[in-house]
Amino acid sequence: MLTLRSQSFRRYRIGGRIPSPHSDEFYQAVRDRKFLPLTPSEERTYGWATVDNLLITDFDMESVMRGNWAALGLRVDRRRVNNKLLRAHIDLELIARRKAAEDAGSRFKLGRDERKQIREDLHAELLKQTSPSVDIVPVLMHSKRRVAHVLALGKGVNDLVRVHFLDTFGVELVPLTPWRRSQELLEGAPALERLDDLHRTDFARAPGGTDAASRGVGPLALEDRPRPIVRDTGAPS
Amino acid sequence: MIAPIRAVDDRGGMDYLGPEFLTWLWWRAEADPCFRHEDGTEVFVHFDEHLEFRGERSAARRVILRTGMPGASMEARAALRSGKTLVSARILMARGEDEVRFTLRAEDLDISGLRLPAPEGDTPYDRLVACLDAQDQFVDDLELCLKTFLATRLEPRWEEEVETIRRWSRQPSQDEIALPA
Repeated sequence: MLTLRSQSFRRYRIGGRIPSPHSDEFYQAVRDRKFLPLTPSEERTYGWATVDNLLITDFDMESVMRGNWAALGLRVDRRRVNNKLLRAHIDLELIARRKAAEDAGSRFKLGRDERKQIREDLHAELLKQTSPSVDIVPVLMHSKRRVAHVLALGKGVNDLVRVHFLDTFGVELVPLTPWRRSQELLEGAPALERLDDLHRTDFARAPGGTDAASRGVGPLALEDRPRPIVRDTGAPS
Repeated sequence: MIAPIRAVDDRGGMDYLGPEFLTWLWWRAEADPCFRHEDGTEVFVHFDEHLEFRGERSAARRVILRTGMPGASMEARAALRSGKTLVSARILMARGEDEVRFTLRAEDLDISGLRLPAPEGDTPYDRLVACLDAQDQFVDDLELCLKTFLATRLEPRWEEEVETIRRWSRQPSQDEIALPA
């Protein structure tokens, strides 16, 4: 169950028109990009699930609408074969083949392609035995205001949501960074033109007028200079 | 799968704009914590128990102050004086009796650990919708602060404001004032 008492989020502008979440078009688009379980050979899969239950991928207004917001969950399943485990299995396989060759009285030699094949076969076998990690990222969207909130701050997961949103609705999610939001807030105002001419402010200019920005990475302020190490020898100074 | 069409830089080359906003907001919250919406609704801003400064010019590039009232500490003023700006801070925002606490990560205006007021409602659905309304109100309040910042930042009077912040940074902090002579 989605709760919002404590949350972290990044805000996005929906960069175009998306279907109303009251329309079939919306649900069709979401269904087309719903979560599908990992196939035996896949290491990662992702897709939409309901925000309240990551096992449900059947969407309707009741499972999606929360007041004026549409809420979806991007379910991401990942599994990875542990490299040390894979290496250990490869070593055991090579030992077994060497022994088999020696028992048969032949010389043991493996070509590069054979080694690669052993690695791929064992990787595929271990992948099937590896349980996936499961994650769900709630995404809230307000189609009228063209705003979306992704309830996670990790770069990787935000990039994934942006890719999947574009795949689903054919519209980009544009992060509302200070610069972009300022552009929007200033739209139509003369100050908008000045936004792109801004320069970094130096809050640290010394009383004498030395501008720290003009100093660049030059001399450090007195209090920041490394101080000589004075050892306490116990001798009176 | 289609790769997203990315702008060259989502921050428009202005990595500093968000930290400048947060640094200004810290000073403003100390000097005059009240912001007013057009309808007269007042919002009060208070910096809480986490401040993170970053800057490239001094020996230490990153300073994190936690627990207690770091905004009132001499270490925070020293960080500002050494050319650092505030990149992340825990903030308390009050509108009437409603209080929200959150951490603002200034570079992207990311919100983390937002604690909304306890929602009213008979069912979980009602309480969720109440939270969404409270979240809307919170975003409005934060944007009021951003608009107030922009109204100064893009005008010639910004230089005067910055000079006032510099003078403030050189004044003794509450910590220093409270220290026994």
